Amino acid sequence: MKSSPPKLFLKLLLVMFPSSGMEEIEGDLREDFYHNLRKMGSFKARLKYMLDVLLLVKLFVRKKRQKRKYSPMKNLFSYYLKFSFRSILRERVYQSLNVITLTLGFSCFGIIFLFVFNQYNKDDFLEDSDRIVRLNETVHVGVPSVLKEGFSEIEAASRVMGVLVEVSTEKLGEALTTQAIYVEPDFVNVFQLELVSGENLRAGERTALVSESMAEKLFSSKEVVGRIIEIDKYDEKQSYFVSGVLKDLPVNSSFSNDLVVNDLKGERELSLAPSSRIYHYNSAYFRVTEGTDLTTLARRFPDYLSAFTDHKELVDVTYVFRTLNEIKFNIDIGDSFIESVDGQVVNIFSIVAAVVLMLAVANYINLLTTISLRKAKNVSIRKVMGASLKTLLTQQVAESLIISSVSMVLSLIVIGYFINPLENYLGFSLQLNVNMIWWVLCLVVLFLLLLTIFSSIYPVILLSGVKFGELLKGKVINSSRGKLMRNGLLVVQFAISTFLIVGALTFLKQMSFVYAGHNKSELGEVLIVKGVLGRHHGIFKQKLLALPLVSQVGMSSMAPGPNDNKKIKVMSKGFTRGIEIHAMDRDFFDIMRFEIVKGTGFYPDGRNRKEHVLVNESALVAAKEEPLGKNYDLNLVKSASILGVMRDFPTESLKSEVKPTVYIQFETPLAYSNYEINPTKVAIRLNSTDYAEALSTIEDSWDEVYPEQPFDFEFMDDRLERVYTEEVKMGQLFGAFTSIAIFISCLGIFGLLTYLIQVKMKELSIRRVLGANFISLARLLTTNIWIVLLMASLIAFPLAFYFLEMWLDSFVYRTTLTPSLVLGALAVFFLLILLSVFGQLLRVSKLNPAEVLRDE
Amino acid sequence: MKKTGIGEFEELVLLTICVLQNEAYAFSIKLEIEARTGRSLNISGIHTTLYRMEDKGLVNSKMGDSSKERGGKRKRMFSVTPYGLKGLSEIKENRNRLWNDIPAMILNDVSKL
Repeated sequence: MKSSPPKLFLKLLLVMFPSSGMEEIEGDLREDFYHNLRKMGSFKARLKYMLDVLLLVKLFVRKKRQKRKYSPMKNLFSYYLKFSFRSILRERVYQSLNVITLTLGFSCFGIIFLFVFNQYNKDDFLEDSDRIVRLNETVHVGVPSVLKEGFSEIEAASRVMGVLVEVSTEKLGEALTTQAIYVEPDFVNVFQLELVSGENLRAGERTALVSESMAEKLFSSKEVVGRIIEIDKYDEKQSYFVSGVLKDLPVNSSFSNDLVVNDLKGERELSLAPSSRIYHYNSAYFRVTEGTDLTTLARRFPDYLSAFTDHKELVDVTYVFRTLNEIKFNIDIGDSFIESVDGQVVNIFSIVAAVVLMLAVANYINLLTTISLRKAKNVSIRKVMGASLKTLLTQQVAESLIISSVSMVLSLIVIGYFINPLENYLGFSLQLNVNMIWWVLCLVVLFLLLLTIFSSIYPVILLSGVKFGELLKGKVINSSRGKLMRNGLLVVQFAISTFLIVGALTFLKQMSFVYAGHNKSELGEVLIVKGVLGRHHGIFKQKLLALPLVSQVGMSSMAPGPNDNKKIKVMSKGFTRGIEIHAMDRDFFDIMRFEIVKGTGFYPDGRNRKEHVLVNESALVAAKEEPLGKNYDLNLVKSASILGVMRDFPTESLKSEVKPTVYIQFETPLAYSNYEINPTKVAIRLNSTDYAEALSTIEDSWDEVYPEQPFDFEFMDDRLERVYTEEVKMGQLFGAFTSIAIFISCLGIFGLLTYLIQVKMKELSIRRVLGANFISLARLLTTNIWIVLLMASLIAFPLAFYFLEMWLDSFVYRTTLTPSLVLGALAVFFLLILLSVFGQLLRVSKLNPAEVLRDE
Repeated sequence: MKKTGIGEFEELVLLTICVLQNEAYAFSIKLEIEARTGRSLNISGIHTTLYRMEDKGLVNSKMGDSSKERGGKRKRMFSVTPYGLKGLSEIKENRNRLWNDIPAMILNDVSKL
C-alpha cells in the first residue's frame, strides 16, 4: 500500500494545539483513510481525509478551551468585554443611536474620501508628472519644435489636439466614434508612453498609434502593426498606417491614448517666417529637465523667438507654463486633451466629509456622556466597592471600542454596497489601489483608537469628580463642567447643520435661478439637427422651409449648450486675447432669441453687408477700445465691422468662463471655404406640437440631401439641460449629505432632550401634580436649546455667507444670498426641535407622576 | 413527556456503542452504523457527536490499545453511562407508549409496507 494520508494539515493542527492530546483522532483518521482507500481509491480517500480534518478543527479548539482553567479575574480583558456588552445592552436605544450616527458619519466620510482620493491620484502612474507642462493655452503650431531645438531644458515637445473622430477598418462594419489625439512623434516621450509592439510615429508620414484595447476593438487582435485604418476627421476621410501599439493606460488616467495620430502640418503652416501668416494654434505639451525653473524658462522665449519671426502675436505674448496638475484641477484652463475636474467641487466635498465626520463624533461623545451620567449610580456603587479610576476607564474604553468598531464594520458594508451604483451614477472612479489598502486600514485603526480614547476620557473625568456618597443618597449629577461641554458640542453641531442647511437652500436657489435664466418655454419647440452640412446647406434649408410644419430655419457653426462645437480661435490686433469665431445666419439669431445689449443685430434688409459681425459681452471686455462700428482684421473677414454686442450665454458648463466670441454671417462665402468653419447646427422652429410628424418629414429631407450621414437631432431645452447635469448630480449628492447631517443633529437633540427629561423627571412630576400644563413644561425643557440654537446661528451664518458667496462667485450666472435663506434654515430647526420635544413630552405625560415621585 | 436532550443521530450512536460493547471507538462505530443503516458517514461527524455526548455526560471514555494500521496511536474506547442508558430507555418507553396507542387499522397498514 503506497498511498499515505495527507498529513500536513493535521500536523499543523497538532503543532498549534499541542496540549489537545487527541492522539485517538489521529489514529481513527488513519484507520478510516486506509479503509476508504480500499473502497474508493486514493484520490477520493485523500479528499475525504482532508475534509474530515477540516471539520475537526472546531474540536481541537474546543478541547484546548476546555483544558484551560476558567478564572474570570485572571483574564481582565474578557471580563471588561463581558461587562461592556451588558452595559451596552442595558442602554440599547441610545447605543443603537450611537451606532447609527457613527455608521452614517463613517460611510459619508469614506465615500467622499474615496472620491477625493481618486481625484488626487489621477495620473499617479506618470513618473515626474510635474515635469510635464503646457505652454499657454494654445501656441502657434510651429513654436514647439523651434523651442525644443533652442533650449536644452526641454527634453521633448509636441502639440496636442483632441478631436472626436470616426475610425473604420475594412474588417469593422460600422465606424467607431472615439477621441483621437493629433500629436507630433515626440508626444510619446513627453508622456513616456510605453510601446508594446511596433515603433513610434514616423515623422512626415501618415502613421497612427493605437492602444491595446483599441486594437482589440478595431481588429479583434493585438498584432496590428502595419494595418491600415481610416480616420474621418471633420468629414474628411484619410487612411493611416498603424506603426505601433501602446500599452493601455490605467483607469485613473486623465487622458486617453486609444488613438494617437501623427498631426501632419505643411511647411507653410509651421513656418514662423515674417512672410507667412500665423493662424494655426494648438495646445502644446513639453517635458522639461528636472529642476527647471518654469517661470524663467518661459520668460526667455520671446527673445529667442524674435530671431525667427517678427510677428507681434508670437513675440509680444507673455509665455506661461502650466503643469499637468494645474490643468487637471482647473476647468477654466482645460483643453481638448486633458480631462479636467473642478478643483472647487473636490474641495467642497472634502469640507463636507470633514464636517459630517465631526458632527457624528460630536454627537457620539455627547450621547455617550449622557449615557454614562445615566448609569452614574452603577458607577458609584462600583467605586464605593473599591474600583479605581483605571478600572472605570478601562470599562468605558471597552464599551466605546465595541460601539465604534461595530459602526466601522457596518459602514464598510454600507460603502461596499453603495460604491458601484454611485460610480455608475457619477461617472467617477471610486476605487482604491491595492497597495493603499493597508495604509487606509492602519489609518482606520488609528482613528478608531483616538476616537475611543477621546470619547471615553471625558465621561470618566466627569464621573470621577462626583461625590458618590451624595449620589447614592439620591442627588442627581448636574455638574456645570459637564453642562458646558455638552452645550458646547451641541453648539458646534447646530452650527454645522445650520451651515449645511443654508448651503443646500442656496444651492436650490442657484439652480432655479439658472433654469429661469433661459427662456426655455420659447426654446421647447426648437429642434437642433447636427451634422456636417458642407456646401449643400442651402439646398437643405430650402427643403426644410418647404415643409408645412416648419416655420423658420437657421444655421450656425455652434449652438448654446454642451461642448460639441468646433472652436476656431484667431488673434486680432484689436483684442487683448484670442477670440473664438463662429458663424450663424440671421434666422438662427432670431430662433435662439439672442439678446442684443448694445448696437443692433444683423440687418434683415438691404443694409446687410457680409462684413457685419456681432460680438458677445466677453469680447467687449477683451477689446482694447470701444469696438462698436470699428473695423477689425479677423483673418477670415478682412475688415469686419462690429454691428452689435450680444448678451453672454453659458456654453460647456455653468462655471466655465464665457469665451470672447465673434459671430460672423454665413452669407460670407469665405466662412466655410478656406477655413474650417462649417455649418454644423441647424435650428428649426416648428409651428406645431406634432413632433413625431415633424421629425419624420425633417428626417426624410435630411436623408435626401445627406444620405451618408445619420440623422442626429435634439430639442433645444434638452440640450440646455445637459449643461446642468453635472451640477444637478453634485447637488443631489450634496443634498444627500446634508440630510444625513441634519439627521445626525436630530439624533443629538433627541439624546439631549431625553437626558434633560431624565434629570428633571421629579421636577416635572411635581409640576404636573401641581397643575402645570404641557406648554409650560415644554418651555422649561427647551429654554436651553433655544439659547444653543441662537449661539449656533451667530457662528454659522457669517461663515455660511462667506463661503457660499465664494462658491457662487465661481458661477458666471449667480443668484444672490438673501436673509430668507437664514429664516428658512431657522424654521427647519425650529420645527425639528418642536417635534422632538413634543414626542418626548408625550411619552412623559403618559407616566403617572405619583409613580415617578414614589421611585426609591 | 420529559425532554431527554438526545438527538436522533446521538441515539443511533449510543445504541451502536451498546451493541459493540467493549469494542466501541470512533472508527468501529462508523463501520457498524454504515453496515446497519446503509448511510455513508464522515468519521469527523462521529467524533463531534461522541465528544459532545461526553460533555453532556451520556458516554464515558478511556484510552485503549493501538495497532499498526493506526500508526501506533491508541484508540479511545467509549461506553454509555447510566445517565445515557436512562435517556435511551426513556426514549424507547416514549416510543413504545406511542406505538401502543396507534389504532389497529393503521398498524395493519404499517405491517403491509
